[in-house]
Amino acid sequence: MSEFGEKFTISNTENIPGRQVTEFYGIVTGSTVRAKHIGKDILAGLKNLVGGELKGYTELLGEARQEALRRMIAEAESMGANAVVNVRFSTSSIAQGAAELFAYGTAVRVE
Amino acid sequence: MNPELVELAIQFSPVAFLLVLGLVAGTILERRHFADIRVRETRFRSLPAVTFSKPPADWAVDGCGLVAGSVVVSLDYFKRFAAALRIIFGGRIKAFEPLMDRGRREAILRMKQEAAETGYDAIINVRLETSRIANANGSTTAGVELMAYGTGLKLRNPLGNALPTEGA
Amino acid sequence: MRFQPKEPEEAINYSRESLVREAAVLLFATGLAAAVLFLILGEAIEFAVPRIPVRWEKPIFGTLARALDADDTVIGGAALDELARRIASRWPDNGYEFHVSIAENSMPNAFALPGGGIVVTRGLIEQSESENELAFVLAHELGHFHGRDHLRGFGRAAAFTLLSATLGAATGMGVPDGLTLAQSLTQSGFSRAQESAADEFALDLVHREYGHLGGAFDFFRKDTAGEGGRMAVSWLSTHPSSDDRIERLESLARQRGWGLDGAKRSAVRLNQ
Repeated sequence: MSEFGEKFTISNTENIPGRQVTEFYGIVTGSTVRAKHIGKDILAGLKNLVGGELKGYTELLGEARQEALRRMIAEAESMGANAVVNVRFSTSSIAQGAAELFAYGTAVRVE
Repeated sequence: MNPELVELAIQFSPVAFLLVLGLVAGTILERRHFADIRVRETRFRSLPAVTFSKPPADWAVDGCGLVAGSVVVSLDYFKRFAAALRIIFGGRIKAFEPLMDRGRREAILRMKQEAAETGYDAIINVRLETSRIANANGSTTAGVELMAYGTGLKLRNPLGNALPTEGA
Repeated sequence: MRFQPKEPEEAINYSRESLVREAAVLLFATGLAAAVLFLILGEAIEFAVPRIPVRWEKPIFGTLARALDADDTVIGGAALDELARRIASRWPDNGYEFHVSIAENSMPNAFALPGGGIVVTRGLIEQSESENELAFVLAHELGHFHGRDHLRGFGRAAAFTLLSATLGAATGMGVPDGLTLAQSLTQSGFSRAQESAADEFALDLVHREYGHLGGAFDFFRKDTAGEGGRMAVSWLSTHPSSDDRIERLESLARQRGWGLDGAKRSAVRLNQ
């Protein structure tokens, strides 16, 4: 996740290996709700006949997940944290054609 | 006036009424909910909820138990309409995002409420779940359930060292 | 490890801006896209219709048309069938096998289905005062078959239903009431040119059958504000206005030297 810079660390482990957690602040969340457009739906419907990767969806969800992470980090930074540990992702369909990409973890300060 | 236009206007007036009702009432209720959430978040701010799977080494744990909170929320008519339009074109569905945010914070607050009432001082290993609740006909969405659960801990050395100073 | 209670900034996971503007723009764009699609489908229908042979109508549209066909077990329906066939015999080699069915609806209405089906409402039959009057309405529907308008209308109604169903399914909002195939079929009128052509065709058939046009236009003379008036207005509004219509038909008849008066035959009545 180097795109968020060296200053900020995110990890799905309890601690940041080799560093010491000095303070913790609480849960931070990042979420975004996305829809793919009808055109992509139709293409995916055709692709469903033969199976395999639905590239349009992969890209869309991947991009939306990055947005969710960005928002989670923005929350953490607004608390003065420099790392989020024990991060988890979840993707849920919340309405027909709409998916929520969600990331959460614990905002901490590491040294 | 063209009778067909009048007929059309009569046909669509209930929809227009519901849209305005949804917009006005939905906006007011949402604002109120957010204000209420902020008040309760301040009340529970000294009760930490974290995703650590184990308690930090310096905590002396005196008891534990599962705590959970959940809420089912739904969009108002106007937002549902705005979301439906967005779903045609794709992209970020702004109508849903405040709903998810306040639903999730509400679920976390209810979990904290339960923890506080049980006498716990902190919650660890918190998990957040989201599920879509479908209508009886299965096609349209009735609402979304947001759930938070974790392990409440009773501590012998309450986190007094870290209690906030006024205005912190 | 110290606990430092803090809340994150508000409104990172959502934006506070109002969605009214966005919804209005998207609504407009949806309408525009639907209109463009509808136009394209319309062109495709215009292209396809003259190229579909009459004998293919039934196999292609039969299933769909049957779903719309009214209950034809009504006693007395046979008399209507007979009337329609008698008038259709004045249009030789038409290739159709016409069949009239009766819809249980008190509003006067009639429409043509692909494959040769003509649906007539009970209201239309009951409000007709002579066979000649009903014959003109049936002949008018035959005129739509002649112009293949029924296929166009059916195609457009199907396109409209398909579009609204696609939108409804894609957005999860469901199909709005009043947009089912049957409803959009009865509500989608033909163009004035199509109606005029069908009228002219009907004029010819009725004259050939009866030798005069007495009573043929009575249906258009009815007081539409009376019983069943609303639907009558609605039906007639997809047609040229009644006065213009009668005037035009009468002047056409005069040009051709066809009599406007003559003995009317007694009206077809349904038992029950």
